[in-house]
Amino acid sequence: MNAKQRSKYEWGLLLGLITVIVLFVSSLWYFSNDKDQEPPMVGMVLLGGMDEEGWNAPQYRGMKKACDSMGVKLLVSDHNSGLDGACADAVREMVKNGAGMVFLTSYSYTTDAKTLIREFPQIAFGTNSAECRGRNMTSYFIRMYQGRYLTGALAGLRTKSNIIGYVAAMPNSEVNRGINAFTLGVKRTNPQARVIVMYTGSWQDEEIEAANANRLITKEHADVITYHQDEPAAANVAEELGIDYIGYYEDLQNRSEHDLTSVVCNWDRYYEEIVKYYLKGEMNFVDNRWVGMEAGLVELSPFSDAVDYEQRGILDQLKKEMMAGNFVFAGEIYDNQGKLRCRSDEVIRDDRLLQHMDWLVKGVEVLE
Amino acid sequence: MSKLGLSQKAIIEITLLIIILFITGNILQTQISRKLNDAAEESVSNMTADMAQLANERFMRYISTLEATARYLEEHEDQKDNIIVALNRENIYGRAGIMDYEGHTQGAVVSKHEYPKLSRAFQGNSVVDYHADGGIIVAVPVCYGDNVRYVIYQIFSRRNVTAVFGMADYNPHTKIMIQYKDGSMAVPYENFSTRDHEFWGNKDIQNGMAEVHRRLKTSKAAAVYTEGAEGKFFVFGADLPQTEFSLMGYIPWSAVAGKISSVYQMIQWVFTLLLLLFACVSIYLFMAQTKVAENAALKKAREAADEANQAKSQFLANMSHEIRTPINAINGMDEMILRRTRDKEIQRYASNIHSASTALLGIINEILDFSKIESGRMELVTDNYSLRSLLKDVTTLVGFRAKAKHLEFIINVDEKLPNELYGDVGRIRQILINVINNAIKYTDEGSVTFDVSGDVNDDTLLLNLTVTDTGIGIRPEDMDKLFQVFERLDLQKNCKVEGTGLGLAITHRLLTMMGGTVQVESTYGEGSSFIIGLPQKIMGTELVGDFNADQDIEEELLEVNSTSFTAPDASILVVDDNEMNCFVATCMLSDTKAKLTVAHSGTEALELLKQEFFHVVMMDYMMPGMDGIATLHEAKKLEGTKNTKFIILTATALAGVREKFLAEGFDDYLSKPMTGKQLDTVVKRNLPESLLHPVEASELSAEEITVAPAKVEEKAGTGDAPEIDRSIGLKYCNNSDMLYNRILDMFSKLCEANIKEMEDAFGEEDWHSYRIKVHALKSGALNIGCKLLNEMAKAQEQAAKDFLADDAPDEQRNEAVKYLKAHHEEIMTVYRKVADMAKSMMEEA
Repeated sequence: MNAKQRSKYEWGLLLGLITVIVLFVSSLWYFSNDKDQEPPMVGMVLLGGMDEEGWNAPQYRGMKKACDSMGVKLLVSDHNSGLDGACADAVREMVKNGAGMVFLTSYSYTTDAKTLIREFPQIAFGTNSAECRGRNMTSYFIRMYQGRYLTGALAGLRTKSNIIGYVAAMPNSEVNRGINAFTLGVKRTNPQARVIVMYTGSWQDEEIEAANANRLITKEHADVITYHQDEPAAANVAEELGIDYIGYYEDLQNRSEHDLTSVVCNWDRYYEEIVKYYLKGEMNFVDNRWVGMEAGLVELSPFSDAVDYEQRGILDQLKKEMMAGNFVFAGEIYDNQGKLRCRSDEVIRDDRLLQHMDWLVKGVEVLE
Repeated sequence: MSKLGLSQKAIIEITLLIIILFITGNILQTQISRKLNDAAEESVSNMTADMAQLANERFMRYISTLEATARYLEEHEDQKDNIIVALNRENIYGRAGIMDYEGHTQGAVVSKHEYPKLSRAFQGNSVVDYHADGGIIVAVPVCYGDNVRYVIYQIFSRRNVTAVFGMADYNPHTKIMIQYKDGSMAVPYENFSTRDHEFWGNKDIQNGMAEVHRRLKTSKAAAVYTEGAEGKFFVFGADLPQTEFSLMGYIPWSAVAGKISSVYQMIQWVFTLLLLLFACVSIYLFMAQTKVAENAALKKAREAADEANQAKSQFLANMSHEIRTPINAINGMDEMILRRTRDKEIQRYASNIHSASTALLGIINEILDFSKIESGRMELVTDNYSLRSLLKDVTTLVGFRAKAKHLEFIINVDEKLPNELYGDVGRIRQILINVINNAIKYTDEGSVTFDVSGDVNDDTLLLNLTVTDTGIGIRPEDMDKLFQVFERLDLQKNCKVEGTGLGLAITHRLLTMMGGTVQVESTYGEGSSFIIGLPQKIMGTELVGDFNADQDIEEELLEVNSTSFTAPDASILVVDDNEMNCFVATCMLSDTKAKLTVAHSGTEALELLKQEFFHVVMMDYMMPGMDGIATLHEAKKLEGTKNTKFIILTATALAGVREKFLAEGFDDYLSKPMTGKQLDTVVKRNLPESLLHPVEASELSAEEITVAPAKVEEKAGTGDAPEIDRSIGLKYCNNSDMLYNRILDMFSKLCEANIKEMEDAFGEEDWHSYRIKVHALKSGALNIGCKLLNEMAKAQEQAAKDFLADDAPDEQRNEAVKYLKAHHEEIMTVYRKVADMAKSMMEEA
């Protein structure tokens, strides 16, 4: 073998050796790294557009933030009316794409939800419709009524006409609970005041909402307005007419002094907690997650300058009481039909609040 | 590359490889242990999840008891005291109590502030809560309708929590505790001591726990492997669902991976073994490589030696060619001298030249044979042969030598030996001639005896050939050297003995090749016997029969120097660039009366072949320009060469040459120097049968003596008395007295008839017939050895020829007739006289 051949031979050997080592190391790397798992995926069905302020956009933003912080992939179906099984179709698509949990974020999906929890027993569902229960269904909700109670107290302090207008979507447990807590708050600071409620029959109907608000202000002389709708149409009317109003779901950024405050929810923190439970595999152990101010999920947005120091102090005191265990729905409560709903030494159970609030407290008038 | 450099390089290579393997081995080890720990972590984590479930169920047990009690209390609100007593009785570790919304308690006293979760109980939920001082509380709501009126609870003080909720009995190695969400220890394990505080306070363990908590954010349960001052542990944790508690604990690594670690050790051991194996293989390969390098050097040396040997062989072949060519000329010319001359002195000189050149040729052949054996190119050419004719050949040849040295040559042949055998007859002949010649060579007086016997075994005959002489013998100390190359023994005594010293060595090796043996018995000064044993296959049933050596010698002698045929109509082309060789060949072939043409190159030969037809072409191999083979190939392409026989003449006499030439397309092969007889045989073999005529004794060499007619005339004119020279006659009869007598007889008997025919032709002036008769007379006279008559007849024939010549002028014809008429009577007279002399000579014999 001459020198040239020999060096060729050695190069070949070296090359082979390097190849073997590279293969060896890469195979080690391959085996030591577990195959990339698909990131967990959750789905979310929204009634309106994901950029529509009010109900939808905060929901989406909260969920998005929670998912991002947990490394979870989010699938969203928005503008989903829920009619003709559109929600169920969207959910099927999401499940097909690997979503392990699906959030149905509207009361409108209740019918679909009942079908879906049976159709996909292995999928965890979350819904804010407390009227649907199942092994794989978590009814999640926030004690928004705590915020309602405090804003009711504020409204009681602010009203001069002792008439407070309330534009509400429809008489279900959630809306009624809000009205009742608000009214209990009003009564706490102003036993003379009355709350006049007008149902619009829809979560989103700007025209009717505006008309109702207008009527409450102009005809019923309400000087504080609040609402339970997916959009702040009523607030806009109040702002136009120069009447105090209290927002819901959405911080209206203190457009004016009349924008007293809003009941807002930190959806991201809330969803983060739920997604965490889902990831830990405990989602289906939990019937309901109902948390509120004590966990920082429910807040009042900053007060307008119209809310004076004394009023702020009163509200602060009320909040402290509440946190100390003095509940909104505790002690003697009569409904507006005069029926005793709670004895002075009693507290209304959460499950009743959630699902069976089919009555309104004394002091609420419903305007047809 | 020097050997040292190679080994250093190899050592570096091996070291590098081992380092690489060591590193990869370490990586492998880390990876394996990591994988094992990952797997163990997963299994511990699953175990933890199970334990968390278990722990949760313990809480649930108390909750369900309380819930049942609450249902009872809902129906019997007044039984609060009894219920508390009953609960306390049932569970001695806990203290029961009932609280209303205002915070008033009955039974065990607790505060809403200490246990904020009690509020959730008032909202209608069953709860478990913890306070560092008070311990663990389990509370359920007591409902009336839609509303909660009381909360009934059981509180377990710190002293008792371990007994109630402790998980120590899960597994002897595992330590489990329950932590509250703020990190305080709600339920420590049994015998929790300061040592345990230290353990949990250890930095590595805390790091592990931090990792557990991090993982718990997204999983039900988690376990982490830690390694540090405390040793190897898995720390684990799981959140208890729906409570603010977590289950935490540790388990020693050995308890989990104890058995797995043996697998790990096994893998490590196997890898170490592999490493060792690799090292061994590397060393082996290195050694093998060195060996290969050495072998390559050896191979090179051997190739060089082979090349040198090849060069030697080539040199020998060349030399043989170079030497043979001149010997061919010498032999040929000498043979012509022997054939033509009548001068006894010159014949003796020529004869000496003949024997010398034959001896020289023999030496060259021996050297060549030896070179063939040395180079392994000696091949045996086996065929059927007749033992009888083999022995005849041998005895004929050696008989002469023995006779020349006045030694008695005795041959005894067992007549029952089979005659038809199979073997290389040429080589056996060579061996026998060699051994017998040797015997003759070293014997100055006495006899050489050749005994031929044998043993038949199935189809094999073991020939026993014994040559015994009464020569000088061999000294015992020389016996061993006998068959060695170039050894000539007893040099002082044998300095006048010629030879190369190769003969016996060749004999020995040839015999070995043929599976035979040779033994020597000798008494120094008295003689030796060589005993050859040679196995030969028997091919037929015929026996050798009575073997008369003497008679055979006589018969053989008849053939010597005779031209066995004439072929006047044949045409032969001799192609050789060497003038001398051409001359030798044409001279030797002239006896055949064939038409001889000479070409001095291949090209010239091809030209001739185009023009006319030749029966035989004798072609030299080594010619400038086109060699014999090229010429043959070209010639074969020509038309009309289909029936032409091509004979190659070559001085290259190495093994396989004959086969090579025959394969090239030659019809026959002749090795130079050739004897007249060899040439004769080969030509005869290749001429068509129809052209061959047997030689009539009277015609023998009739034309050969070309003496000028004038001279004859002169001699004729001297009127010498005719005489018959017996020696000349004998020569033409191959020295056979018998044949000579027969010729004499024929000559005298045919005399009168011939004379009458000649007289008739003379009378009728039929010169054509006359010429034929005179021609016959000319040959006949020479055959019996009468030169005078021969010359007279020749002159007369010439005259007749002159007359008969087509272009002869009348003047010449007249002169010729005149000459014919003048000498006719004289010839007739001499003819009669010679015939009488011949008759009387024959009668004398």
